[in-house]
Amino acid sequence: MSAVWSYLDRRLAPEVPAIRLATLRALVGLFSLVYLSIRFIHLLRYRDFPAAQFAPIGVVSWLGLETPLAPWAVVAQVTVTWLLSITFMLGFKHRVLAPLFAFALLWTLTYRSSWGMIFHTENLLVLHVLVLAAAPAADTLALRVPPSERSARSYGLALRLMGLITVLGYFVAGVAKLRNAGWAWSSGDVLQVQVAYDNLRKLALGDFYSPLGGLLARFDFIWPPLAATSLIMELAAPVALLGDRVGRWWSFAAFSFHLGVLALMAINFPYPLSFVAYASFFHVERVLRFLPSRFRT
Amino acid sequence: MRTLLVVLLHTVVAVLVVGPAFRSPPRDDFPLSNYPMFSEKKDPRVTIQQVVARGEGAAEIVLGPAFVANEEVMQAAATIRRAMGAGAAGLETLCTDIAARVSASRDSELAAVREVLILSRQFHAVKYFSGDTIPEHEESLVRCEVLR
Repeated sequence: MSAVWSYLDRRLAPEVPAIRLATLRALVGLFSLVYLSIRFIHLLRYRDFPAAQFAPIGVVSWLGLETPLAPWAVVAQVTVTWLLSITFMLGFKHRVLAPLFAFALLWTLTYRSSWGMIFHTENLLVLHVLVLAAAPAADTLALRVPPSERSARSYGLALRLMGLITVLGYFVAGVAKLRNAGWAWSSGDVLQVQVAYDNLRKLALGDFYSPLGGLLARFDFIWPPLAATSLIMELAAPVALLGDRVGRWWSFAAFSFHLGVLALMAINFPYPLSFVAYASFFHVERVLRFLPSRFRT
Repeated sequence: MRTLLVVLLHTVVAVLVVGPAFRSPPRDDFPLSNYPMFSEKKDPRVTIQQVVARGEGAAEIVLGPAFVANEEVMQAAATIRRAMGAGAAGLETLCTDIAARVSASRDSELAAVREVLILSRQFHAVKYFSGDTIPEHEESLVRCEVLR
């Protein structure tokens, strides 16, 4: 029995260097900063949306917001979240400011999804930030590092939780396909119609669409292997938790899946496509070799 | 004790993430979701509400999502659906708003536009990309003038 507990402890909270978790925090923070910068104007536009369209979900609904925020409050929430993404990236006052950033990001992006359309492209980023904000992710590679005598397992625990959240998100997407369409989803018909439907809708609504997806939609033979591969990648995602190497291979499979979605449906999942979403499966601190030495501590 | 806490923490997180998929009915929320996108078996016959602008001739310009709501096509589609749900008055209001944006636009392609229409068109999605681009069915939901 003690061998099982010992295995679980090593597997679920392995000893890893502080720099690995800190590097991951810096990368997720950098992604958040870039993402919020690009989306800044778009996020501000919600101050002008008609109140009739407001359909609060998640934390926005739980906290009882029944009507849209005043325009100044929308500006404030976006600006504060953007500023906090900088402190999060730099690891500045992590214990206090990181949870504030996690809540601000959760709130701002939930508010964005509270207008009749949920942006599933942002779920994983928010969940990862929540884990990093609660973890000792700024014991190094941070501005004003506080002295710490922490066990190396604390860093490993956060990394494993991020990996768990990542793979289970894909697993859930696979389960949804089985619940909604059954194993017939793997035959390719559902995917073929989805790709054609999605591209046609974008084309008809004057948005960017994928000419490649449109071109391939007419060929029936392409879709069964694509559908089966996608479903296997999603349903088998928990296998990635069994070992570091299999986790990395699965990461490349998931990344390729998103490349395919981008190519065939013009749907961009920025966080997975940046590869930062899968960084918890890698010795991510190695990217620091490419930085000048004065930025490494 | 420590290991027990670690196992418990993993279990709680796993249940939270997987939970929305096993609820009845499954629950889509943020940031915990059942990720329903691409999962539904869709009818290839798709009815699309399309916003178009017309000038003197019969040629039409498809107006993008930014004219309807913002640059997010799904949010634009939701805006049109909501206007339809509000009946004729809702569609009139949306059409007038779009016409005002067209009027204010500096896009030279829209300079000669006289009217905005919200149409409901039915296509066969797969056949459309095989060259069958004529709508199987078409209905004009609302029409409004572009005031200059």
